[in-house]
Amino acid sequence: MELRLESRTVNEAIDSLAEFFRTKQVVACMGDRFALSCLCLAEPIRRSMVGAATTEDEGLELVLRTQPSLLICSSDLESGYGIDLLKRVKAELPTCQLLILLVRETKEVVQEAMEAFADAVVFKSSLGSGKGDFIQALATLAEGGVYFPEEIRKLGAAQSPRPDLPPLIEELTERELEVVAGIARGLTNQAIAESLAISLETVKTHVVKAKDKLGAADRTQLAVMALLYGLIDPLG
Amino acid sequence: MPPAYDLILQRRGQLQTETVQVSDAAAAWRLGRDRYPKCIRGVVCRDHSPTDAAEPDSRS
Repeated sequence: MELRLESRTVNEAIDSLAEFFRTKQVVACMGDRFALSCLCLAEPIRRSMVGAATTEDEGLELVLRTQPSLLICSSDLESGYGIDLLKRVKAELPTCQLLILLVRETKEVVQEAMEAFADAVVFKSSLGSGKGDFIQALATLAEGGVYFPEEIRKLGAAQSPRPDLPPLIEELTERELEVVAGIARGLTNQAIAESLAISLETVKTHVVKAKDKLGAADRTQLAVMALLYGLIDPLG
Repeated sequence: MPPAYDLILQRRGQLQTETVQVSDAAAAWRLGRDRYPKCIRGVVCRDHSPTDAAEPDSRS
């Protein structure tokens, strides 16, 4: 496979991440030493990297010693298991954001990663495909959100908590769903406008229409109703 | 006063909310994950400023 390296959108996103990494301390843990070395040497991550390891136990020891704000981990390690490392890190350092790269693309593995409270989950196979999942994951973490691309959401989505709800009279549009998902991630209207590259007034209009369709009185009710109907991912 | 955020929590199949005052969305997520690691489902910035009011600007 020839990697797709020239993407203006991805390159712009990488540039915008420089500020995020100025305030972060990053630990990386991967079974592939070459990939790990490349990640540690890559801008803009390089200056934030406080440690790297190839095994689960070494990774945990590094996290405990350096207290990073972000752990980038792959599920495959030289020994141990990346998702188990996530669970151990979450138990010891709950403020640390967790990004995991998954090798196996099964429902069980995705759900396992979500249950380990990964903040971002990316399939390894998406790297170099031009989708930009890895960069988008970092950008979302920079905003304090969680990132699960669509194929991962589909695999990992839990059942709607209230499948007995009456059917919606009018479906929400894709854009309205994006706006509601932004609201459920804690974004302000201004931040949603910037992330979707639309005007603030347009965001407000989508919010009003989404509220009408779901019978919600305010932003919180809107997010809750969208979650109840399973319109947005519980963790996204 | 810091802005208010509603944490959306899932408990025993029900969605509940709890309001917290923190500096930003990232802090709200951190607090939610720390306090309710198994329950946190979402974070909503409450309508606290003209920017976040849902109604479109009547001047436009």
